[in-house]
Amino acid sequence: MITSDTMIAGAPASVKSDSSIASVRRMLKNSLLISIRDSVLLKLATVDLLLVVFYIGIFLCGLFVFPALMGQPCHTEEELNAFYNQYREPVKLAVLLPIALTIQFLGTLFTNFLLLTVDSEIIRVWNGQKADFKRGWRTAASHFWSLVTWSLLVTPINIAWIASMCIVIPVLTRDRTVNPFKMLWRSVLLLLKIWKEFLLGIIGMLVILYWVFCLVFGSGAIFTAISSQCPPLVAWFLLSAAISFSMVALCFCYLFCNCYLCGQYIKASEGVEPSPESNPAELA
Amino acid sequence: MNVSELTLNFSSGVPIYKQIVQLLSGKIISGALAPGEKIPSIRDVTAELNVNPNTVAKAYRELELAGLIETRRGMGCFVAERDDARHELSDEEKQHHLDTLFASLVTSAGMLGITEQDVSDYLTAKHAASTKNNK
Repeated sequence: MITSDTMIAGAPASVKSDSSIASVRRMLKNSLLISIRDSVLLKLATVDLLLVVFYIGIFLCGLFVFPALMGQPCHTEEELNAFYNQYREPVKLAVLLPIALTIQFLGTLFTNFLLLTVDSEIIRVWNGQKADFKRGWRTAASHFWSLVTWSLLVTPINIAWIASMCIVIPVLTRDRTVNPFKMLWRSVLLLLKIWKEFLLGIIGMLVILYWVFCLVFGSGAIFTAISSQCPPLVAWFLLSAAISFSMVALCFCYLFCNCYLCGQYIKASEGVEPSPESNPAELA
Repeated sequence: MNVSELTLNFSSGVPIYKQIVQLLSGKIISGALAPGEKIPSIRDVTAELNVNPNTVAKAYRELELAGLIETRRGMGCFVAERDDARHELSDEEKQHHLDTLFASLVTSAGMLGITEQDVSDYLTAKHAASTKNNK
């Protein structure tokens, strides 16, 4: 007999009558649990974030390489500003704008692709499976054209990554439409079902992120203070430790936020609050 | 019964647990699933369809409450053996299953671009034809 009390640990049948706050608290707790417990997921998030940093690095290098290619190498920020200011003229802008839009499109596509690899595996972990690096990449590759059309739509909008992260990409993990407006519409419809928990969760996440960043910056300040009074070798060691710690904290926050958003997506689409914990006897 | 026979539509807007209930109840009521036949375990459905165990458990619980399936401890879930599960449903249960079947039909038709009105017209025409044949 599948009884409500024994159904799945962590999500009793009283879920339906629970207040939104209790539900959000449970989801935040489970998201933390997933972020800490699955090391593959953390590695995947770390690799993704490193790739995004790498892309930003290439983009910044490109800002310096482009003037050199045009025969006007720039070495300082002033020279760089002067070089790009001359492109404000309409004719020259017509040349630079497509290049800039292409770079931005590739960046958006790349970040959305990486986000989909993480989100698809997070959903699997919510569903009681183990995360798998290759499977995540394969899933994202199988949604390539959906990602291309979505990225094309949002490329001109700078803050569109928020919409991507919060609502569209989790939906894309299981939806194969290539029409970006349909994607957005379906995502909004799902979001309307859980808007209360979504907003409360965002507030909860901001509180948690605030404390994590306080910890990161606080420890960074302590590391800097100590390293300034240490021999160079020790200072370098402390600096690399501080950078590593900040990176891990950043990856963890990124993963935690995505875990929560994917959990909410599952709740909206499946109609039941998910839980990574299951009662093995009931699953047989 | 294979898990692959359960086709879920993640973009229809109908909650997944309701889709599972609709699919399985449709198969049980229509006789596609025989009494005593084993239905896939929660673990199998979860792994194959990539849905949350809670979702499948809730769908199975609803089916169990409707008397359509029964859980045998340590063996899994089976289509209810009792014939009355199908033939002695209360009016309320019959209405519920009709609603479920109709919603499923409209959802499937919608995916093919067929409107609810077309479905209704088709059912009326079919009913008229079958009544005529019976006479």
